Amino acid sequence: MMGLFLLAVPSPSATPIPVFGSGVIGFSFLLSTIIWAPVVWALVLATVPNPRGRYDRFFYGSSFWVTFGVLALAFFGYIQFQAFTVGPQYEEKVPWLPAFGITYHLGADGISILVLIANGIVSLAAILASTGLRARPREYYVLLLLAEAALNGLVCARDLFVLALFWGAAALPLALLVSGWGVAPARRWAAGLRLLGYSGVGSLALLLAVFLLAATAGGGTFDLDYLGKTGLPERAQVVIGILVVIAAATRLGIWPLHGWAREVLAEAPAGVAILVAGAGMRMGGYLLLRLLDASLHDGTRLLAPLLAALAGATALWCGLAAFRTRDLRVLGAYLAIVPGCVTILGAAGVTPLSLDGAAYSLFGGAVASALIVGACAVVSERALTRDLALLGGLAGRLPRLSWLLVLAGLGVIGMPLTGTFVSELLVFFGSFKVSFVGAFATAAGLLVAGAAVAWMLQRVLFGAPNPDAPPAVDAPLTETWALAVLAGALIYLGVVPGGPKLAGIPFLDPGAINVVNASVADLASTYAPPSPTPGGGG
Amino acid sequence: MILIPLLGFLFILSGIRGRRATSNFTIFVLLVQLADLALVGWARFHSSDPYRVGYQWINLAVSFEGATQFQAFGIDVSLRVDHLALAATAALTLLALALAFWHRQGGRGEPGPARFHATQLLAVLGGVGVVVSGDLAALTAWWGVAGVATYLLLAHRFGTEAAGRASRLGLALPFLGDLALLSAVAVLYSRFGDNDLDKLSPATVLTQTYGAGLKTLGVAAVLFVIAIFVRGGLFPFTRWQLGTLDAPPAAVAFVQGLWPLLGAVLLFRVLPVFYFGGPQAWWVLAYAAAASAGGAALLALAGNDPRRTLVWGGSAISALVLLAFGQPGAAGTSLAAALAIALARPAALLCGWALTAAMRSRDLADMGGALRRMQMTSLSLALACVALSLALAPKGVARSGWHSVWFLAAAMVVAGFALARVYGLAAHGELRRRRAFEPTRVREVAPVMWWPVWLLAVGGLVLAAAAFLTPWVAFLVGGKQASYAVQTDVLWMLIGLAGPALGLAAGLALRPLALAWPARGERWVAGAAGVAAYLYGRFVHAPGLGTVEAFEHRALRSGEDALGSALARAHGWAARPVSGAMAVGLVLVAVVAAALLAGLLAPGVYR
Repeated sequence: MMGLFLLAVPSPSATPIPVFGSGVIGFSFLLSTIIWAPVVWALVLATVPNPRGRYDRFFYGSSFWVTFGVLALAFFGYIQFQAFTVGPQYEEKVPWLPAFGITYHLGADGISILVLIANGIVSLAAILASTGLRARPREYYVLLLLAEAALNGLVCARDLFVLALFWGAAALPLALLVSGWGVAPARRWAAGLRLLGYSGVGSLALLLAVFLLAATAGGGTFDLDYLGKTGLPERAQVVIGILVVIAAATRLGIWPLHGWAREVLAEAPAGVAILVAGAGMRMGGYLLLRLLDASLHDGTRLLAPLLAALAGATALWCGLAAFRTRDLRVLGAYLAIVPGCVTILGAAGVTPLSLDGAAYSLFGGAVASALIVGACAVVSERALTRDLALLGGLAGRLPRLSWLLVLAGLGVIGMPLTGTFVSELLVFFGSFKVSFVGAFATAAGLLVAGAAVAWMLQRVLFGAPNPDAPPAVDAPLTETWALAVLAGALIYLGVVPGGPKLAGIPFLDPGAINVVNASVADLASTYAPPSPTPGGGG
Repeated sequence: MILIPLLGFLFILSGIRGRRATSNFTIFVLLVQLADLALVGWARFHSSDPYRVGYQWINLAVSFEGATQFQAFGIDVSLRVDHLALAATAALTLLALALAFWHRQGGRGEPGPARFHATQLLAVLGGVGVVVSGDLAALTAWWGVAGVATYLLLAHRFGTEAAGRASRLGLALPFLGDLALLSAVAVLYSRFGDNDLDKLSPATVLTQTYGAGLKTLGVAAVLFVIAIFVRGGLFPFTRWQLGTLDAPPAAVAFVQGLWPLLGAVLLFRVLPVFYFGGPQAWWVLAYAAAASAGGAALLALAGNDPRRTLVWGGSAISALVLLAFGQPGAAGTSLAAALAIALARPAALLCGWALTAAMRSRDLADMGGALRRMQMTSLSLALACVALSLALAPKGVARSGWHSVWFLAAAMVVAGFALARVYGLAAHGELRRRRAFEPTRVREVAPVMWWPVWLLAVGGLVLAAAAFLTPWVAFLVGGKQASYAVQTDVLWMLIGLAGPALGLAAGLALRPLALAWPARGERWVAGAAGVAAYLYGRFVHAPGLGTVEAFEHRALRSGEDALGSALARAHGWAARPVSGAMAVGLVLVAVVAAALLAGLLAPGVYR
């Protein structure tokens, strides 16, 4: 049967051609290095003497290179990744609290490795976007590195307790960053508190879900590899599933738990907003895939209509709310939530293809969301106002930023040539069989979001410049680098999802989508559409 | 065919600047594309089987269990070059070439020449991609690429408020069509597990796949119709084309030539879905097309703005092409008509633009005497109108029930009348002196502007006439076509010419009436549109957004504030030191130290 399948289905060779970079990393602590290197460097930065701010630039430069190193490690991990091997790779497993069944267990499958790269790119962009920071750089970069480490830890954790710890740990530095370095002193404290409040609710829900899952499964372990294979009663799965959805909703900004995203993404400095939108929010989608779809199959099937409805409602709501705002950054914040809706629909689609799309959207959506909030932040900084009533006619004055804003807008709604289009394609193709209504509702939401993007571009870029507005100057190269990195990633993911081929020879083989698919095929085998029986209607 | 416009686009992006340089380079690229087409056409002329080649884009083995057709998923950039693809690509390239020449002079005041030409080549790339695609998913992607290029073309003049409105319309409304197409293809894939047009087309696949039936095909057909109507700018979705008339004329003309052709090609490619989708699928297409054609033809009669009339008239004719698709055995002639329209419609629009610019008025009442002062433009307009009216005349388009025949004939006459009315009123009659306007200063446009339009109009007329030739139609669809009696041809040709003749007569003999009634109609339409806008604003827009605002700014905020206050009260002791910058490091060190302590003291690590 297997042989027949392999003959029938065109698939890449099971022994891929050795590519550049493979075999470079030979030690067993790749994931720990990715997680803890920023923490170690954050501790170093926190203790380095800095008389009269002499080493302020050093904080920026060293943080950049550490983050770049982490990204490079993740990239080498990607190149070495065995796409045809089932289960997590680069595993590290050390008993931590054996009395409670807690282990320091790390591992990365295709989804994790891609999200690690996404986190790396977004973190790099966040640091690049912070190049102009002058206030308290030491604390800023320390917190940024800690947030990056916590997010990477969340992605690599294979023990649910450790995952929940990293989940909670990621919120604290982000909240401090927003509260300490937010744009408007009057509102940044409230924004930070909102982030902390919503994250607290999410962390509580996740902890409850984790304990409930472990207890229902026998209580001996929190290991995801074990818990994912235990057949829990349907009712327990639904309860745990609802808790997981609540936790994910607080991160993804699913309606009606999206209030923090509006405030945080609008008030945070550009770098932090990029990190939150590109990495922080995606963790909600990651949790849905890792915990709900991978471990709670029956619960996922039962909750799928709810998830699909939430995806449609959120997209629709954010599109409509974007019309009502007068603030460019708030508008960008609403739009940044939209790619997450495609992730949710993919998770609700419960077919291997929709899950592929959902996993891919963790990367595509990450860069699209980061790009839109980053572009809105930089535009409002350069235009010296974020008031949509004053903004206008910036296309002539900010040509570089205008193109980036247009690309960001098109990326958010998933136009072709962007990574979000590929994920939308896969999600819609996979979802229409199971979540017919939800898929249409999400499409309607995307339509409204598209109208909001069109409205935003019209208000900000077109027409004659407002004579009452402050003079705007195009961003220097140092500021646009951050956005250019994100834009490049967005286009790369959209043009060559299966990996680039030079003269027919695969380069960086296998492609990003194939790496994701290797793991999705493993976790989603139970969601495969059943063989049809005669008499089925259409 | 794909690579040439792609490379041209990338070259311009990579640094070709300056008006002349980008224009010359674009023309060079399009000429190379034409030469390439000539070579391919030479090679494939006698072969009725399409030439197929595919490049893998996405290839996934998604599952090892379940239905076999869903175990793998792949999207190939598959090129399926048949005669129709060749003809459509040639028409698109000719259109782009003519407009590139026209834009050298007509667009000399436009900002960003590199941007314009790069976007034009991107639109050509998307259009060629659509017509040569053999995979529905890839076709959707190319369709979207052409859509993005359309938006960028229409948003080209960013410095004016009108361009801003146009850009909004050019992005938001057609996006509905893009999503409808994506949904249609997704619906088909979700049931059949394939995107390949050749694999989907056989009746055995469409009718005997378990889990798929009439309902699936019907839904997909409706979604395809929506996609084609929206992108084609057919009534009631004409707004995005009418609202973008202030964009650069070459861009507007290109968009209005491109999309109806792409819509017709898409409809031809997915015709099996309609064939096997039961009568409902046909009814949806037929009734929607008939309503659209009728509505647009009537609206073409309301108003004296020549450009709007030409858009409405072109929209009506494009809708009639879709209606004709529904007639048995008429797909070939409909495609031939679509090719003719792709050239004639932009020609008519450019003539309308030239007339309004030269006579400095958008009111036909202020126009006249163009045949004497702007001879080539007037003749081009006349030829384009005749080509548009004749495009649908070939007999094959209406062989079924008498009601279809009568409706088609009536709509053709009305649309032809509306189009020719513009010519009759603008080309003939007296051009009167107005305030700050001297009729004697009205002159023909520069040769580099009229000859491309003239060629487009003549090309459109030739293609419209060629639609009467059975071999041409058979060449396009790659099969045998039934031949008809000469009398039938003559009858339909007369019907096709009746509209323009009546329009010309009205312009010549009944000028006051031909101006007064449309003006009155325009007032009625404006009144009805105002009422509709009021009702929409009163009962949909305001309550909808009001609800959103009430939730966002009152309900949600008050809940959040309550939560925030509780948190602040509970953690006030923590909040105060954290607000001091120096405390951040202390908190972090404490957290890390606590974590390290817990980890080191834990028995697991210790062991």
